[in-house]
Amino acid sequence: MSGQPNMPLLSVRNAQVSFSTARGPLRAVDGVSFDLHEGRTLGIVGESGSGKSVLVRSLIGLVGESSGAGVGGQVLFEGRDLRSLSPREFRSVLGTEIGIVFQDPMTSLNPVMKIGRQIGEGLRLNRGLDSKAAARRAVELLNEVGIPEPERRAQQYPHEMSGGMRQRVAIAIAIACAPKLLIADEPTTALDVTVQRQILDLLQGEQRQRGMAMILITHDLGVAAGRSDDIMVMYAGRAVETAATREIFRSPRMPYTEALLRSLPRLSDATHTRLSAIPGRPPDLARRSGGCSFAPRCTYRTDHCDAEQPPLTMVGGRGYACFHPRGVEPGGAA
Amino acid sequence: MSDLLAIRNLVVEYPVGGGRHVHAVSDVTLSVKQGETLGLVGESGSGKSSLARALLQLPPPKAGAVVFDGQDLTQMRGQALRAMRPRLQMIFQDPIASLNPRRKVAEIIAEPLIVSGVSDAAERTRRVRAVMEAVGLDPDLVWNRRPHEFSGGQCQRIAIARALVLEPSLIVCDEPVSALDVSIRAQIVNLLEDMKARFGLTLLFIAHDLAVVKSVSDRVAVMYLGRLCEVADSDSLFATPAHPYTAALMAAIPVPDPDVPLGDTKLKPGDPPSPLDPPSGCRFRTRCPHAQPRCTDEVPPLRQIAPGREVACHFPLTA
Repeated sequence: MSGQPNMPLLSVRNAQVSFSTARGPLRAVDGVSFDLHEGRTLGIVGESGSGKSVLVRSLIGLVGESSGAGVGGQVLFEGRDLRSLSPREFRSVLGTEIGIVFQDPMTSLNPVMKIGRQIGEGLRLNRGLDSKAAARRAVELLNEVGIPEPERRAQQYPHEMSGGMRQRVAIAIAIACAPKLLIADEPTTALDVTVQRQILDLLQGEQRQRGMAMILITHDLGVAAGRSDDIMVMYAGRAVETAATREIFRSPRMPYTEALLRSLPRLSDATHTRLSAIPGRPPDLARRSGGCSFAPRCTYRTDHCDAEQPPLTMVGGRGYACFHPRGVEPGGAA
Repeated sequence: MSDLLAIRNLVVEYPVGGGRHVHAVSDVTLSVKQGETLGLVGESGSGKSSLARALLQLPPPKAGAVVFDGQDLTQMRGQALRAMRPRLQMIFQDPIASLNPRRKVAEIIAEPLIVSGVSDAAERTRRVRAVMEAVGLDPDLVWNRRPHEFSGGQCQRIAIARALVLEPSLIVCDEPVSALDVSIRAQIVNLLEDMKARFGLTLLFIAHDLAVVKSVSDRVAVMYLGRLCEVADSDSLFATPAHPYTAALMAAIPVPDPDVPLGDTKLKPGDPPSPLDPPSGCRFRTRCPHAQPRCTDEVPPLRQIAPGREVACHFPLTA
């Protein structure tokens, strides 16, 4: 890594993504900043439309001008501004230093290419391995991600495998070139709970063993709780709370986080315990108000919340975008 | 409480060509008591949705009986079956896909009334309005709108209204909240609980989210690869699972509390086998940490191990 020990691996400043729609511009991501350090896992939590996937896809160029989106802000990876790289340089960074695992391996894998060849492709293109060496390495990687009979499996196509197996293959592709950052976008949402468990164990195991940083995008607070060091909660395109995972769950500052945690059914509750539902629904992003996006659903809302958008306030290493944070004395710091 | 629904030795198989069959549901016997919520849990391929459809005769099962309020639906045809249908309704996972996009909300909810022969338009309007209000939709605001104008949660309210309008006895809810956002799920779960109390419903609640199932179910049945593993009262099932598969499912749940350590599923590595070619004997044996030779040779029957507790395992955990 570079000379400065405390420099984050990934530093995102004021990320913006907007789409133009028939009803006017839609700001899917609206000024999100965060840092990710080597070896850490950041869980990005949010509901559909919160902007969590669009944010991360915009960082790696999957959402951009080619897809009709306006993208703004700064993305520094090891101090290099990714957005100022030439397409060729950018592809090389993506292929070797950032690995990506998507939700649905059936659509992220090439259906007409044998699995071994797909895994070896990056090694041939970016690491200069010849086909034989790449094929050998692909088998080793299949073995590493827990696929039995890797030599035989390398000769198969994705449709010959189960969903869990395909996701293992997708992980093998993502880690093939030994990236420093692994992005996992809802990696287990399409999988059954016992398979989900195996895949999350695999991701976490690879991450620790290889010292990778990871961004884990999930809507499942249970997955985020068990697998991330820090969490960023997104709502309506903005980061509304960031903190160490334990702090988020123990003492959420943002009323949205608090309400979300309270609304979850718990196995420790007796049957027919009434759930504390959050009233209303997430806002229409094409019709933003000037105030806090969560205000219409919030118990603690005041006129201030409607009039002005609360900025993400950083206090004692954690951040919240709220004028009435929970667990903080009015007028004082946490 | 008496049984409103009794499923006996139900078999559902789908041909896939070459003389092969998907063994979706194999010899399942299960009852739902009047007024209770029975949770049905299992992973994909467990047969839970096939079971739900077979009991509504959509399509009829290959073998077995579905006795609803004393009458075997599998023996009924045509008019007799149509006369029973209003009493059994279903709510699907994807609320947007389950609603006709070209119809207005009022037409969607009124359609079951038309089909079942309520010919008085004023009567239909009255009942549609009443059921809209019951599920928290404002009739004056939603009447002439179409499904695409609503969010997933609102569409699920419309689907629930459509299921309720015929005043059914039993509603089969197939993953009713899993397609909804986290902040909306609790609203719909609470609505189903309210409707159950208000209309005296019996619910068969199918889901893979165990915390949701525990929250609404009086009893829970666990399925794996087409067979029942375990049936028990919700509280005792979750406190002391008797089937190794139930225990593995519970250990695999991601708990939204970072202080709760990850549970050990104790599963053998590998994926679930295909329902095209399920293992002999106990279908869970290929992943079971306690499997013995007997599990390969003998199908474990579902047997009672304590009052209200049935398990299909030669070596149950609580024995």
